[in-house]
Amino acid sequence: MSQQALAGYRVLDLGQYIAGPFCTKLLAGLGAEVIKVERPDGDPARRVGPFVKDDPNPEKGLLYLYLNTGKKGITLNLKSDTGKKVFKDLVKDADVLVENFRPGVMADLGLDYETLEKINPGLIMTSISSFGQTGPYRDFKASDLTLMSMGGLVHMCGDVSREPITYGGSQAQYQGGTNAFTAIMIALFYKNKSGEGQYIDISMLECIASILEQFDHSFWTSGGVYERSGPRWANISPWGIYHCKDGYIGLVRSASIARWWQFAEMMGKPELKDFKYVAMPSDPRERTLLMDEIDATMYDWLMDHTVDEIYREGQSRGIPCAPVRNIKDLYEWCQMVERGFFVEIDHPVAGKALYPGAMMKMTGTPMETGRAPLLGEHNDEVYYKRLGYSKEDMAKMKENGVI
Amino acid sequence: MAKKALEGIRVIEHGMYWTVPHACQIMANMGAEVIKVESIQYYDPVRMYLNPRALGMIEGTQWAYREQGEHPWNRSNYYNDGNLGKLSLTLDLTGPKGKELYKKLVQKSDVVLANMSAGVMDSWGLSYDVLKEVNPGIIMVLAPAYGVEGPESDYVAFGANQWQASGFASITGYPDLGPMQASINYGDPGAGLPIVGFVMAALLHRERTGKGQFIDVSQAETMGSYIGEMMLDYAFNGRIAGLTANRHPYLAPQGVYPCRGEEEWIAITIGSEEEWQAFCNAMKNPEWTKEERFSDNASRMKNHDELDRLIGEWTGGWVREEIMYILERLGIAAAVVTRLPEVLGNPQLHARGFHRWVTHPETGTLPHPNITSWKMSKTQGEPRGPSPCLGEHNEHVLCDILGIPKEELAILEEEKYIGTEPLPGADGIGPKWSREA
Repeated sequence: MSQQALAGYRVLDLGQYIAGPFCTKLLAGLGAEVIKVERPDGDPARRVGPFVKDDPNPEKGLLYLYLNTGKKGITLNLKSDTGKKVFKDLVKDADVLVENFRPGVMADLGLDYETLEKINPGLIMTSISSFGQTGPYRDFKASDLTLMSMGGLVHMCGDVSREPITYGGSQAQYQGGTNAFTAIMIALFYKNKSGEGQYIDISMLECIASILEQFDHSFWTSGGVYERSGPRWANISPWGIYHCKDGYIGLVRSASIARWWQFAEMMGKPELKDFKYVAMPSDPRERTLLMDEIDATMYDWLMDHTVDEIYREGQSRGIPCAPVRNIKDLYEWCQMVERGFFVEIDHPVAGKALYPGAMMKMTGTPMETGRAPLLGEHNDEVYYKRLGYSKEDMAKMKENGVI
Repeated sequence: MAKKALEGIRVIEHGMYWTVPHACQIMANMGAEVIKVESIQYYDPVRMYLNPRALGMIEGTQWAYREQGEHPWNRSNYYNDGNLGKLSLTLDLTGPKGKELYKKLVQKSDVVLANMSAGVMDSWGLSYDVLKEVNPGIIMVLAPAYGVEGPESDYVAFGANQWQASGFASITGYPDLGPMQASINYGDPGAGLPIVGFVMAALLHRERTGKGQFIDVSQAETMGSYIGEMMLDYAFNGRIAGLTANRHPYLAPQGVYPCRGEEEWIAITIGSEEEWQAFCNAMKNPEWTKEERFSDNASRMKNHDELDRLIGEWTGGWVREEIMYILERLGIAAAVVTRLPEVLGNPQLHARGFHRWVTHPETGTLPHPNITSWKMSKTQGEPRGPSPCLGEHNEHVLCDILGIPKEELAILEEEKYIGTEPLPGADGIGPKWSREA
């Protein structure tokens, strides 16, 4: 049995909701010991739905159950003096600290990097916030939607006739967490050779705006047009999401002539192999005419075939195509199932279910997915066994609302 | 002067399009020496790629300033945006001399990454099993469409297909119009970024044990990790997340609303009862805000369509920025819906030095977002230089790193193993030059 990649590393997770917890979930998956430090009433993510069987029990929040797999859970009131002292004890032998409070909160608590660095110079402290710890918008309120919007992804998504839309889920926060994860891994590699810790300031706005990397120059130097493309792109056919007999299929036209010929043959329309269909004309009127002709041919054929028929036949011919899968389809997709992406996790309150597992398959040091901790589940282990607080100390801390 | 976290790490990239090039650019920003291996027989297709979604079919827009120049493959916007600070080696891996030189390079490297179709490296006789014989510490990452293992590992998918296949299309769209295609291949950077984290994990493991390893990446699994709570809602409750446009899962109102002007939008989220009251005040408390159907979060969730229409009437009279600053002053989340060219002028991004200016020998000086914008107090990452011209660093890599005599370069060039100008068919469209022919 090989050791996991981050075995022996200690991580303190002050994260709430998504960004911080997702980052530390990945660190836990790689074998780090992650101690999630919750306020005595718990991470607020425990109280937002959906819940297991819609039962609003703080141990049954799905967001919490997913984002905190493999962590140990303790409670601690950082606003109390005892809480601060205990926290500083924990910082002494931690490699990584992750927090995603509003900028300034850690400083107000007297737990900013300058203070903690003195306790543990090797600490890698990471702050994730909406806009970063500096700059004119530092204290602006944000939501996932407003970050995706300001970051530039929303304007290009949706239908031209309607308002722009954001991506499904909470992607600004997930990207914030993933950027933090990657930055921390780089910092750990650096610490491993230099012994030095450091402070990392992650702005979720920047995480989103950096996704525009690929598009910048075609805009600035070449006047490329970026408008909302809807389900299908208006200037090329086929490109996008199409209705077929029993659902939606994604089709993409590649530049390869051979692939276009395969497409024509798949539809049983060899006449589309003619050179005039191979490339889209640059004259807009000619293009529209040609696209209408291709679309008319294609729509009849689409309505006669199921998603699965098109997918299998297309793939056997090397044509880029994919079913528009919903979440249920993902759970039934042979590729995901047979690769072992889903892992069964049992939780004492929530029960058993198949969770999404390793984000990537490391063959030498596989990622593992544990379960999320109960509120304060590891208080004994951490305070009593590790830090040496007596049972009486702990009782007093409990009485005073510290844990 | 910031230190370079990955100084001394040598990375071999067989990247195309975006995923692996993105991962490798991050490592280059952090100080790794990234050698991008292409060949004059087959280069990264984006060197000549007409990105159809981005370009609106305007002639020539794949090239900087719409000028093809003498070396169009060095002027590609897409390529030059995504390969900053790397070295370019052209080496034909289909011939014996190419393989031999490549193995020498692997001996002196730490990581190999590729996102070609599964099986391409195998077909060159350069599978992980072969490379690990050459260098047991080598870390190899393969990121074909849906991963290396599994019944559909040889399937083809473009970025747009990943969006469809991974569930994202089914949760992005309007309830009445169906699923939407994202304009950006979100899954590419979405996988490229964490690949770097996993490579670091493998490097740490190697430092401890001397052993390398193989990492198998499926973009669909990475994407699936970004919607975990929805996955669990199905696993526990059998509920299938659907299309909700801009709605928040449990707060109302939230939406994108029209402002004065054309294609001007503001995104707003009301996060609490206090914020709702403040929002009503900002709108000067029109009668409808006092109606029973908007009296609490639950009723607002229920009557969201009507609420959106009424809010839109108010926002329509204002300039985007006015609303943003009015609402932010009241502690309400509001943001302009930024159009692509406006990102460069965003005050917050500007204040934090998000864009970096880089000079390319053939296309001049242009701004790039710093994809490693994280403010790291000891090892700040940033672009180290421009994206390389095709084969620009052949001599450096072959002579300085591998130590082959300079005279041999001419022979390799003669035999079409290396070069700086592509051969016919290198764009993957027409018939190919072949070593056997």
